[in-house]
Amino acid sequence: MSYTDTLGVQSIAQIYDRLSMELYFTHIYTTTGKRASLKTIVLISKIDPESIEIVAKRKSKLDDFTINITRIENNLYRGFLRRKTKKGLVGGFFLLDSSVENKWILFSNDSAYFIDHVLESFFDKLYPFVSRVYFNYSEMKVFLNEIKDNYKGKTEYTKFTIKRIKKQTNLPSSLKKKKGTMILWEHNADEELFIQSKDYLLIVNRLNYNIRDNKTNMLLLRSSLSRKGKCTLEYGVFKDFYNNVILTTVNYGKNRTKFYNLRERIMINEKIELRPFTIQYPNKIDIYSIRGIPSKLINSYSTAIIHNGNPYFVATLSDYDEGSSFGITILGDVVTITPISKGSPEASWKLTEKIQEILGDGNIINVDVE
Amino acid sequence: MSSVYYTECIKDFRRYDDTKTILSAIYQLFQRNREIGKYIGVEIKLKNKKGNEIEPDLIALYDNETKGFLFEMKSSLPDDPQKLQSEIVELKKYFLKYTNWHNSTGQVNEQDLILICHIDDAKKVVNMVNMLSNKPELTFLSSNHFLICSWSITPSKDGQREEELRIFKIYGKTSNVYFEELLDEPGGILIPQSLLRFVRFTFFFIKEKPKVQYTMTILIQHILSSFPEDPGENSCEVDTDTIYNRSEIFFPSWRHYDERTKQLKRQWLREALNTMANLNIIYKSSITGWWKIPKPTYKKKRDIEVALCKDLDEYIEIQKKKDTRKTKRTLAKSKPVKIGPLDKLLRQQPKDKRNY
Repeated sequence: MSYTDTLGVQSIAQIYDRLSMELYFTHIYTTTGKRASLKTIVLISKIDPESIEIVAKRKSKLDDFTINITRIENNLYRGFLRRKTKKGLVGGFFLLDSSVENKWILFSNDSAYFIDHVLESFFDKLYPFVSRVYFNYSEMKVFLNEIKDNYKGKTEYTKFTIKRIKKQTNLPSSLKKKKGTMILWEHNADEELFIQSKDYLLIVNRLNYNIRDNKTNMLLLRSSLSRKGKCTLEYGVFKDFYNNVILTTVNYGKNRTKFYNLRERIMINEKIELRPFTIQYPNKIDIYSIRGIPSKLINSYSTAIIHNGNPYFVATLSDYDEGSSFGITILGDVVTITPISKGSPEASWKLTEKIQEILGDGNIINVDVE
Repeated sequence: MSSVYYTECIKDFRRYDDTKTILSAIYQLFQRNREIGKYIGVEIKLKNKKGNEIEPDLIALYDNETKGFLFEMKSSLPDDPQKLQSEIVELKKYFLKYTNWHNSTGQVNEQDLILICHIDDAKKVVNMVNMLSNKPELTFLSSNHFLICSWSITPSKDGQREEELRIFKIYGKTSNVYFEELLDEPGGILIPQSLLRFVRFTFFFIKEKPKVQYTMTILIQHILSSFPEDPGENSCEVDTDTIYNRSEIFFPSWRHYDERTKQLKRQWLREALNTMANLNIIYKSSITGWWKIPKPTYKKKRDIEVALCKDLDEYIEIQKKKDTRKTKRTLAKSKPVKIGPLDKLLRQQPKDKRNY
């Protein structure tokens, strides 16, 4: 009789409380053998998880989905989600932990197809009631440094999944370099990224890493982090993973929300106050990438273009789903985002992510307005 | 698609936005260069005992608050010489004595007027001013207190400098020495990059009435978008007063507006709301004074100003045809009727109460 038989849990569907969840995941991810990784996604939401079904019913773009949520313990829910896809009906179980205020943590070890096309897609469509946590490359590095310290170990990057966008040159198409997704396996892929950045705009989509004990070199954690805040557990003690990785993601979410918070254009003592922030790039942003911005944002934002990138770009945008509006300018190597009306942190963060998906990862910096 | 109206519609939209940016630039110029003068406010009314009043876009004081500085912004000036002449002649009112300057005496010894216009209008304005300046009643045009400026965003030079915004002199001068020195710099006054990056979002309107497509864009993007959906609906119902109140922050000095100015600005919004109802972007609710706003509002596969101008163009064409048919019928029956200007059509109240 196996340990999971003794526990009475063979899958997520059978988890009955927080303890059984911890024991089940620890057992699975500290033993050898082939299994799907545990995917965890941190989300931001102020609504009660039990009202997901009601909210989902109000959204016509969720007509393809069927969801069922059951509370199994205080702040712990089990969900079953199904969607009509090109592959037919695809469904799976997940757990939702709402023990941290305004944050949800989703757990699922179902197939990658279910995670990408059903689970993530469903919660993305719940925006603005539910929103994501995002990482760019520099934020990933800071985050992984913190995790390394939490484990008191050392980090090794094992794989970078990168989207490359060719910087515009006058080369004929036959001589242009390849574009698209690229995987770097090098242990010191950082240097390769630097070399690539000369010819490409780089968007780091996922970073796989190991954490090893400083002294014994023993493997403590095998994991990955995606730019949309999806952390996987491939190997490691679940409780450590929860405390060192998941809760760090939650804190990161809180800090970034604080950064994007209270940026709406307001009037104080008869003076208009603006609270912009910038995405700073190492080099001048090329004109062709700038001109591609409106068409890439048009599905999610109402855009009014004042200057269309010569290379000065000025536009005002309004988030169709959430209602926040922004002024955006691009000049030289800086994108400046100025929240105008509403300017919620969730919408500001989402827009910052969208811009980086088009122009590549930059550094996000507050603007000190005199 | 490429009718004159459509092309002009987009041009007007962008021109107004850039002009309100120049207002922000002037505002910032005073904030950063206290030597030029003391900034008083945007759209502040000046009055005198004879009942004259003016409302320049921006007012400042200089030389120990003994001299006044008035800025008048024009996003566009008429091509018709008669109308342009009237606009220039009307500037005379800025040189009357006013008694509520925001200083200890309420008065100034002299005042300067700075007219800021778009570069496309610069030549015709200067020609007209030269033509009129000899008239004895318009001597202010050739005085040391009347200046015309324009502005341009100069293209970047690869590797050398980024794009720049410069305000430069095209006619006349003022008696503000420091301001003149700045203008005499090669290329005129260089406005800090922060203006191009974010300060341009300080103000959304100047005193001049924007074209309806501009007000509609402000309403759709920044005001109507901020109202949440009604529970269980893909829309929300909002009354006109709530829309007015939410819009106030987009007008530079709304706290200081008198009732007449307030009504005037509300008229801009009302015109935009009615036009949006005519274009079926929003709908009149069954309750009088309320609007039904679909969520998301005006979702289009193109930039909002382009989509709005296209819809306006089509709407005008349809109305024109309707009016022509109506006129033909009327002509057959009775005496001829006059057809008003096309723009008038857009200001009409939507006739039918559509239920969304």
